[in-house]
Amino acid sequence: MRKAILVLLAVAALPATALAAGGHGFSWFMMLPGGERLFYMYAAVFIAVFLLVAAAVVVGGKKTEEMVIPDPRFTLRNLFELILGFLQQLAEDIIGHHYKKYLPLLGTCFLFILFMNLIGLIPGFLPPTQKMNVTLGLALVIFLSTHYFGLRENGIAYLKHFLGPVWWMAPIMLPIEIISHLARPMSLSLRLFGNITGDHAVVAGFMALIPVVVPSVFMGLGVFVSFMQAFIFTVLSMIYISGAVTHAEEH
Amino acid sequence: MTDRQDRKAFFRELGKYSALGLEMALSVVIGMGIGYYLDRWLGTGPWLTIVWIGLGFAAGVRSLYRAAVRSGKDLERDEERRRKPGGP
Repeated sequence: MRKAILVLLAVAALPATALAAGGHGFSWFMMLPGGERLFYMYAAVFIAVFLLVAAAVVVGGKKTEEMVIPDPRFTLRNLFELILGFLQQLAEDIIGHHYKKYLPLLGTCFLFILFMNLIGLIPGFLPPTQKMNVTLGLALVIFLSTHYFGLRENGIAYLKHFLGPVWWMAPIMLPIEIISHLARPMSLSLRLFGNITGDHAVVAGFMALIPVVVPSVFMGLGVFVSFMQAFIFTVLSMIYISGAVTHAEEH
Repeated sequence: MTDRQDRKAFFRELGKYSALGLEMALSVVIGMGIGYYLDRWLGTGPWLTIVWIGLGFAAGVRSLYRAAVRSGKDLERDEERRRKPGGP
């Protein structure tokens, strides 16, 4: 009996793995109009809609007083609260006591990137973060908002720290600072893109070699990489924002 | 210092230093790119490329220095918090 179930499972699972192994680079979003080129955009929009629906389900017209009491079991809401609680502690640690202004941006970034990474582990979907366009867009949002926050908090004095500590060094320090600030969005986007692409390539490679048990190990690794990259992206954004915001107080 | 806070500090430092290598390398690349296109625009031989590679390297060192200063400050603050009686 047990053997029969196992054989049945194997037979059912084989086409799926074969599809995933042979059709590396196949995504259901390619079926949509213009999907051949824009499938990762569709996937990103799908994640955004998914997060919105999840938020609507979690809050679901409840009043604030009802939200105080946590759910008894492990629900979607508890999962989100766990993640956001961790991020909140981290933001307080890194940015300081006025961290709450920046938490919406950072939390959105974390959840968005996390789910974009995780969707790549489902057979038949490709992670949108596998495209440099998406990661560069995310990094540019962080880059622009970092400088916006800096200008809003410190005014014109924010521009002064691009000129270095001593006035006669300003002509040298200005290009140096500009390069080092331009390297930030580049490194943010390149790291996310490279890690997700590499992880996906490893899973696909082992799927082609031994399509039975071995790929699941690397899929577990993929879950870890997905979490780690979303986390590193968020922590670095926090560090950049805190550097832009607290500069006036330090000197 | 509880175990939980130790782990948080570990993650913070991990994120910070994992950024450094890529940032330093990309600084040089960005400097070289700026110099190359300035050279093509102004027609000034290889000189601006060389100068901007040097500036890119300096920018990499600058971000390393900034991270070191920041990390030292954070560790100092953690130490202080640990020494404080009745602290977390």
